[in-house]
Amino acid sequence: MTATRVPPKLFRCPVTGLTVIHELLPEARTVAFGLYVKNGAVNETAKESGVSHFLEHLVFKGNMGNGIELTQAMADLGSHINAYTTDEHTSYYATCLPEMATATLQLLLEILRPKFSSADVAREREVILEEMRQYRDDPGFTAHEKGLQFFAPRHPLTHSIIGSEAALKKLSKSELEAFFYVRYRSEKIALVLTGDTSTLDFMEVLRAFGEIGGSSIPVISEKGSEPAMSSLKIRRGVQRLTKRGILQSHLVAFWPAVSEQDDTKFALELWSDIIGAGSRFAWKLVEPGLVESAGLSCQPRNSTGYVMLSACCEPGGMPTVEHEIEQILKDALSKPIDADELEQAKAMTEFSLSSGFETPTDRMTAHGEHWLTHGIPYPLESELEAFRSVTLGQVNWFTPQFQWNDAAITSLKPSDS
Amino acid sequence: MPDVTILSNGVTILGESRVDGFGSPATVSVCIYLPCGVVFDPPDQIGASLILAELFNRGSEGLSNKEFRAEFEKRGMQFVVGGGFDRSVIRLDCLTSQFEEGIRLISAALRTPRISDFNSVVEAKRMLLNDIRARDDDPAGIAGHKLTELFFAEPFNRPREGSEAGIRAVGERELTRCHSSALTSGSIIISWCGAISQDEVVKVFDRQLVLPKIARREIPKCFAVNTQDIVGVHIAKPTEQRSVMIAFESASVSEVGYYPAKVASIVLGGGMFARLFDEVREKRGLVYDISCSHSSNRDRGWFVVGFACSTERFREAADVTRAVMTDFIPTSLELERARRQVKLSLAAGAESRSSRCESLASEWSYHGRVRSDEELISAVNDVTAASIQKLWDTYPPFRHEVQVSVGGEG
Repeated sequence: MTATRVPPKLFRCPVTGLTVIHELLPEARTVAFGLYVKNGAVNETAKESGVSHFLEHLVFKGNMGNGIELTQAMADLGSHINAYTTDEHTSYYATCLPEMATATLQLLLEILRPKFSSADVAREREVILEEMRQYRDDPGFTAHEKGLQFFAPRHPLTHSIIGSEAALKKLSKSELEAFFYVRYRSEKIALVLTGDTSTLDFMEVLRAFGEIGGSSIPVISEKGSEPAMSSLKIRRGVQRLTKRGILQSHLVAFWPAVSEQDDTKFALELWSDIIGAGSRFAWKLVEPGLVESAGLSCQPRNSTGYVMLSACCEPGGMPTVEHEIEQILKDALSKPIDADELEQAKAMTEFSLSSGFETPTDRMTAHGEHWLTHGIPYPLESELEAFRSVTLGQVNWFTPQFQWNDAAITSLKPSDS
Repeated sequence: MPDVTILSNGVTILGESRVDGFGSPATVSVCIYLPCGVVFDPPDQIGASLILAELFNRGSEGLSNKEFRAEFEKRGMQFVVGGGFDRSVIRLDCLTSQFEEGIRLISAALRTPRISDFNSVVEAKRMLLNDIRARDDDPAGIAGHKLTELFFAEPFNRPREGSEAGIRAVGERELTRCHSSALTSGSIIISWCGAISQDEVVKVFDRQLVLPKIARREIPKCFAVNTQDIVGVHIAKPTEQRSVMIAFESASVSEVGYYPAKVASIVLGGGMFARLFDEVREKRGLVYDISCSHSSNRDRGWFVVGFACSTERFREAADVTRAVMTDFIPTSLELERARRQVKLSLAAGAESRSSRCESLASEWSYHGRVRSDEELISAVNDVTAASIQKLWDTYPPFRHEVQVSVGGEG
């Protein structure tokens, strides 16, 4: 029943300099666009903390001479637009009906030519300060952020995405502009288009848009904005934190692990599925109701990576939970992952990857995020093959690397418990 | 439009075939709606239905919890059960080739859940109690819970997560009663979407889910929402922000004001271009996010507006929100944007099998039929500023409102 598909095309646009990934899906009912920028919290110095996320807010403003016109113009088309910032990249994405594709793309590209005003900067700063307060009221977020910073102090991967309040209050319009022109160069950006683009002449839209930046771009050194993503200098041990007014306790733990470019990441992903909430954690922690949630995830990044454990439970149960986790990891040494567990994990991963590649928006996201670290669109078939070929020896090799004594552990419990 | 079959025992099956998901493998998504939720529970055992839903996820007479889950996982099948307010929902996503095996396993769990297994029941209860505690660490979760309690009449004012005392009180006898009610065949809705045909689906359920014919189980009527002038509650919690939720009555699904209410909620709170987002966040920078939604059951409709901001800015944000809502008259441009947004969401929803499957079950449950895209687009096109004005005259914003805030004092 599977139709033969034309693989996505990848090329550099000679006019804008953007990398373009285009996948035509003629039977789709929508079109999805994404701009993937190789810029995130890892690219910031302490003084610039939060600038990438601040820019993600600001570029929606002033593009057409009036503070709110870009989102309003998108709304006039009935198109949907949004954005997010991560530790390593920023993404702007839009979805529309095929008949609105040309106009939607024209508007999305305007993000690359923002016109900052001091009034917009001041107003958006207030919005982000509110966003920051919202995060700080979330104990799970607090545990994660503090835990990551405890694990690898001062490493760029531990930079706060939303930034520090002190830096945010000091960032000026000119500093934001300077950072934008350094980090939003065409060679750092991919435009991804998927869906029914049969009536869209996107090359014509790109030609009409012209060069990214231009002679008005201030010339600024990139010094200070390219931290070396060397191997993590990590800490082991435990930090115990408290917070007022919360009812549940949170636990996070980190270990250094493989990068996005490392082919052993496929085995590590299966290892974390089997040991984690997909299997052994589920039976010892989640299903008996010892925890409200528990997870173990593989987090490969560009040239580095880590494994993260998280759990949430009632405060009185935390010692038991910690003991059980330690035991699960230790037991995996004497009772290695077996063939049945590996086959189950492979079957679940295969279904999840295939069914998560269904809509134009799913595919746009997969292509864009894969391009950021690999420079090519998402190759579903070869990724599936890589998972299929993982052996028991490869998954079990990881168990000694992730033992409780080697972790950087952070717990956050109610201060009055 | 979907194929619809009513089985001889009263179970409704509806679905749509999708041959190709842009080259992805042949898969099918299935939703099973059971008449099993907290509105049906005895007042002193609120949460019994949630325990039962959790047990559906924990094996059957012949299979332990672990064996049951392994049967799904080795076939790469995704299976989840969620208990809720007036229904429990079972979801299965799998390769078409595994469909009958998935339904066989689910049917066994539905017919013979492990109600008599003490450990399974204790573990299910623990999980639900954990969910309640997690909600109480979320300011918006606390506000939503209290809003429901104050705004609706019994049994619609019950906590969706069940009550702690109710969950602890549930025993085997209540679970057995709850189980026989949940399998009221006349109220069961099964929807599907994917690479399979209606004939095949009907045959599989005929073979696997053999249930006696039991007449439809009626959902209790929602007789009243708040009728007092204003109810306001503040719950103190040491948070940096104050979270607020406000509810007031509006048109239900059976009233002419239903589509005007839906369009008004899109214009006011439907995204980054919406009126409230624009006035409260974009122009004044008072909040990070603000929402406005319209919901309805068969008897009552209501709006809920929610936002969070620092305590010292709370008054201004609340005043602006009230002014925007009260003086609201949509422009022709705003109405046109809402129409286009509806068209896009219908198209995007149709591209995903799981999303389409869920909307089919939801449509059948609330409307007793599946409205076509054309019908929905036409209904939204017919909404005018005058019809929204009429809705606002019938149900003025904030009349008999309930407001709950959670956070610091001030």
